[in-house]
Amino acid sequence: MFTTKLSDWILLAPELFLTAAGLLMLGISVFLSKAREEFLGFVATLSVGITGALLTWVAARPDRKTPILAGSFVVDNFALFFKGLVLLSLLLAILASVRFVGRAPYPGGEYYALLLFSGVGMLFMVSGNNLITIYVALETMALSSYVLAGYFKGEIKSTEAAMKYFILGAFSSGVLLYGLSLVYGVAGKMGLPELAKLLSSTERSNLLMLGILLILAGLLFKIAAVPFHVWTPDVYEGSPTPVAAFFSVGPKVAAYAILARIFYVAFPKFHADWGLVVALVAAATMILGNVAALLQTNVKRLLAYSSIANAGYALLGVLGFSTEWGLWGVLVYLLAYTFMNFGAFTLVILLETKGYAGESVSDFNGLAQRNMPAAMVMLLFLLSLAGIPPTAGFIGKYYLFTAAMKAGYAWLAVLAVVMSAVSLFYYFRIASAMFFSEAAGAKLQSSYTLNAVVLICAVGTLVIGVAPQPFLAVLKSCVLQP
Amino acid sequence: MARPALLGEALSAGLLFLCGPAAGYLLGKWLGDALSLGRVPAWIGAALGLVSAFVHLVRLTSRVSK
Amino acid sequence: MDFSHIPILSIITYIPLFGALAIVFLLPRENARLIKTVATFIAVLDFVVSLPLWWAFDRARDGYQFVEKASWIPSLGVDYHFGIDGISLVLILLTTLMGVIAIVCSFTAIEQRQKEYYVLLLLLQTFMIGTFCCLDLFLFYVFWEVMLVPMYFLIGVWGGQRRLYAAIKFFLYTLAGSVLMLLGIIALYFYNTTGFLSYKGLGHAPTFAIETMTAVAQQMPANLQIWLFFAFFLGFAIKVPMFPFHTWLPDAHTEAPTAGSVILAAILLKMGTYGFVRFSLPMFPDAVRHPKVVGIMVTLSLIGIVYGAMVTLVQKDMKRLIAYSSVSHLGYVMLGIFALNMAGVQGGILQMINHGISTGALFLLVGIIYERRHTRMISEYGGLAKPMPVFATYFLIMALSSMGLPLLNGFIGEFTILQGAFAKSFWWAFCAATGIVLGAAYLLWLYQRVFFGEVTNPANEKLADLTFREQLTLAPLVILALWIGLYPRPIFDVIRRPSEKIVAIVGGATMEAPAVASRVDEAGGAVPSVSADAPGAVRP
Repeated sequence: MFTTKLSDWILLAPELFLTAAGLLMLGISVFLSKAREEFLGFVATLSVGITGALLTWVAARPDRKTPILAGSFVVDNFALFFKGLVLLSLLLAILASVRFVGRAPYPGGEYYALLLFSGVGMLFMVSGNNLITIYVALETMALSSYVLAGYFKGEIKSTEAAMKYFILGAFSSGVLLYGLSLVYGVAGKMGLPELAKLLSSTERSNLLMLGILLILAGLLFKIAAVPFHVWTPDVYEGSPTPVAAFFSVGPKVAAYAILARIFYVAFPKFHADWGLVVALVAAATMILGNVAALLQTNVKRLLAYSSIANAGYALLGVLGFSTEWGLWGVLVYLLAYTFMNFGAFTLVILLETKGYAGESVSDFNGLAQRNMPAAMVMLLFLLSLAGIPPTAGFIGKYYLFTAAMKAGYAWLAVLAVVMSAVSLFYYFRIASAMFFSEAAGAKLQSSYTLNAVVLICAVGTLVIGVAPQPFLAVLKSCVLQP
Repeated sequence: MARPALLGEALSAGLLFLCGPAAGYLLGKWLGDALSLGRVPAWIGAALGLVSAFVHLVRLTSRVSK
Repeated sequence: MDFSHIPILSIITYIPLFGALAIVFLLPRENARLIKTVATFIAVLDFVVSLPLWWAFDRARDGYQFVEKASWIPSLGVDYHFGIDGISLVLILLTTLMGVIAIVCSFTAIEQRQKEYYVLLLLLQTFMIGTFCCLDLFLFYVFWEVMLVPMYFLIGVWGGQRRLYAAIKFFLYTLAGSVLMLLGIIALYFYNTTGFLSYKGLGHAPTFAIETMTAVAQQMPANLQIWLFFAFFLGFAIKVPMFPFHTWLPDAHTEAPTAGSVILAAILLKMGTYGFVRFSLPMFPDAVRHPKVVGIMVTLSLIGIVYGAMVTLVQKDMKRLIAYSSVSHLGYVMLGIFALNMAGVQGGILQMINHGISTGALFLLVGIIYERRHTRMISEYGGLAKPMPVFATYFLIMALSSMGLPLLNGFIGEFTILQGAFAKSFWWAFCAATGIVLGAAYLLWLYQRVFFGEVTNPANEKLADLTFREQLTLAPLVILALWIGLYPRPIFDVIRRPSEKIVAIVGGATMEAPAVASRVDEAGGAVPSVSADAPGAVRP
C-alpha cells in the first residue's frame, strides 16, 4: 500500500497535461473539417509548448529529486534532459508534419493525438525507475508508433511498414517482458535501485544472465542494433517521412534512456559479462549500417541505415559506462544526433515531389544552384553526421571514441573511426548531387513550419559544435549517479 | 567478358582471399618483430589483406556487370 | 614592434573568413568584378598584415611567440591556443602570399559561380593559416579536418573531367588517415590524465596544449610511442604524400582548377611534413630514433624520390607530370627530416618552402597555357619559345629552380638535405642524388618538348604572351626563388632555433662539414648555418 501526496501529482504535471492534450485533440478533430486542420497543428504545438513550460516548472521545484509513486517515477536531471529531448523531437515532428497532414486525405486529429500519446509514453519511460513502469510506458510509445507508421492507410507501403513494425515490435516486447520476468524471478523486486542492491550481493546465476540478455535483446530492437535492425529500413521507407523522422529521433532516444538507466543503475556489476556482447553488437552495427548505406539510392533508406550506424556509435558510450565518459558521451551524442538527423530528414520532406514514395538521391540534384541556403544547411547536417568538425556530430563522436578508448576497447574505437570515415562516402553522395550535379532535381517546397524546423536543427548543430561548453557542463550534471 | 577470362578473374579473386590476408599477416609480423610491438600488427595486416581482397572482388563484379 | 596586446595571429587567421562572409552576405552574385576586387583586397590585406611578423619575430628566443590563449571547452581541457615558432612563421607567410597569387590567377580561369569560388578560396585561407598557428592538439585537429571541405568543393565544382572522382578520393583518403590521428590524440590525452588500457596515466589536469603534450609523450614507454607514431604517421604520410599513400595526389592535382592545384601543392602538401616536424618528431623521439623506424621512413622517402621521378618521366599530361614531381620533391623533404640532424631538418624545412614556390609557379604556368589552348598534353605543344618568349623565360627559371640548379632556391634545399643524408649514410645520399639527375631529366625534357624547336602545331603560332596580371602572379615567386637561392641566411636564421630543438630531442648530433661549407662559400656567401656556433645548444 503506498500513499501519494498532492506534491507527487504535481511532478506528474507535464505527462498528465500532455495526455489531456492528446484526448482534447481527438475530441476537437471530430468537429473540425479537413480544411481547418492547420488549427490542429497549432493546438498540438501549443500543447507541447505548455508541457515544456510545465516541465521547467517541475524542474525548478526543490523536492523533485525523490522518487514518487512507490519509487517507480523519478524526476532527476537525467530524466529531465531526456524529457526535454523528447519534447524537442515532438515539437519538431509536429511542425514538420503540419503541411503534410493538411495535404494527406486522412484525418489529422488522430495523427497529432497519436504523436502526443507516443510522447506521453516516452516521458514516462525516461522517468521510470521500475522495470514494470518502464515496460508499460515503452508499450504506450510503441503502440502509438505502430499506428503512426501505417497512417497512410491507402498506400500499401505504409500498411506493410506498420505490419512489419507491429509484428517485430510485439515480438521484441515479448522478449523484453520475458527477460524482465526472469530478473524478477531471481531478485524478487522490480525497482531499479532495489535491484542494484539485491543483485550486488547475489551470485551470478544462469537465469539472471539469461534475463539480462533478453532485456538487452528487447532494447536493442528498439534502438535498431544488429541483428535486430531489420525492421528499420522498411519501416522508415514505408512510413510517411515526418513519421520516419520522428521514429529516428524520439523513440530511439527514449529507448537509449531506458537502456542507460537499466544497465547503469540496475546491472552495473555485470558489465564484464554484457560488455563483450555489446561490443560485438556495436561493431556489427557500425559495419552493417555503414556498408549497407553505401549501396542505397533511396534517401530514406540511406538515412535509415545511417541511423542504424549511429546507434552503433552510441553503443560505444554504453560500453564506457564504467568511466566518466560513457554516459556523458551518450547524452552528448544523442543531443547532437537529434538535431542533425531530424534536420536531414526535414530536407527530404522539403524535396518530396510525388508526395510519398520514391525519394531518391537524384531529387537533390542541383539544389545548390536553385536554393543555396537549403544546400548549405543540408551540407551542415551531412558534415555533422559524418563527424567532421566543427559540428555537433564531431563533439558527440569525440566523446564516444574517448569513452571506448578509456573503457579498454581500443580495437572498437579504431573500427568506429574507420567506419566514420567510410560513412562520409555515402553522405557526400548527397552533397555531390546537390553541388556538383547539373541535372534537374526535385523542387523545394518550403513552408514556414518546415523552415522553422530546419533553422532550429541547423542552429543546434552549429552551436553545439562551435561552442559546446555550456551544453557539456549541463549534460555532465545530468549523468546518473549509480 | 569472354568465358576463359572470366574464369581467370574469378579464380584470381578467390586466390587473393587466401594470399592477401597471408601476405598482410606476414608483413605485419615482420613489422611487429622489427619494432617489438607484439602480434597486433600481424592481425592488422591480415585484416587489411582481407579488406583489399574484398575491394578487388567488388571492383571485379562491378566491372563484369557493366 | 610589440604585439603582446594584439591577437595578431587570430587577426591574420580570420581576415579571410570575414572577407568570405562579407562576400556571401553583402555582394550580389552578378557583379563578378566587385567580387574579384574585394577578394583580392582581402587577400592582399591579409598578406600585408602578416608581413610585420617577419620583423617582429625574435629569432634568438626559444619557444612560441605571439601566443594567445583562451579557454574554449574546459570540460575537455581544450583551449583556443595560438602561437608560432620559426617553422610556422615561414609557412604562414608562404600561405598568405600564395593566397594572393591564387586569387589573382583565377580572374580569367573561372567563369561560372565566381562568388562561391572566391568565398571558398578565402575560407580555405583561414583554415590553413589556423592550422599553422594552432598550439592545441584538439584545435589543430579541427582545423586539419575542416580544411578538406572547401578543397573538396573547389575540385568538385570547378575541376576538370574527372573532378567528381578526384574530389571524393581526395576527401576520403585524407580523412581516413586523419581519423586515426584522432585516436592517437585521445590516447595522448589519457596518458596525460588517467591512463587507458594497461598504461597508467600521469594524473595531470586535462589539457591539449602542444608543449605539455610533447613533454608528456616523451615520457611514454617506447612501444607506446611507436604505436602513436604510426597513428599520427598515417594522417601525415597521406598528406605529404609518401609512397605508397600518394595515389590521391595525381588525380586531385590534375583535376583541380589552377588556383586549387597551386594551393594544394604549395600549402596543403606542407601540412603533412609540418605535422611530422611539429608533432611526430618531438613527441615520439624514441620511436623516431628506432633504427627500424628510420629505415622504414627513409626507404619510403627514397622510393618516393626515385619512383616518383621515374613515373614523372613518362607522363604525357603536363599537370600530371608536375603533380608526380611533387611526390619526388617531398620525398626529399622527408629524407631530410628523417636524417635527424641539423642539416637534414633545416634543409627539409627550407625545401618545403622551395617546393611551394617552384611547384606553385609551375602549376601557375601550366594553368596559363591551359587557359589559352585548353589542353595539357605535351604533344600538343612545341616551339612555344617563339610566340611566348616571356612565358618561356619564366618557365625556364622555375623549372631550373625545381630541379635544383645553383643560384636558385632548389639548390640550397637539396644540397643541405644531401649533406644531412650523407652524414648518416652514403647510400641514402647516392639514391637521392639519382633522383636529382632524374629530376633534371624530366624537367629539361619537358622544356625541350614544349618550348624548343619549331612551332609544330599551327594552333600555337599566334598565342598571346603573358599579360600583366599573369606576370604579377609569377613575379613574386621568381623573386623569392632568386632571393633564397642567393641569400638563404634569413630563412635559415628563422628556422634555426626550432630545428635545433627538434634535433636535440631526437638525439642527433649537430653536424659539422667544413669542407663542404667552403665550397658553398664560393657560390656567393650563402652558408647555411649548421650550428657551428651553438655547441651548448643541446637541450633535452
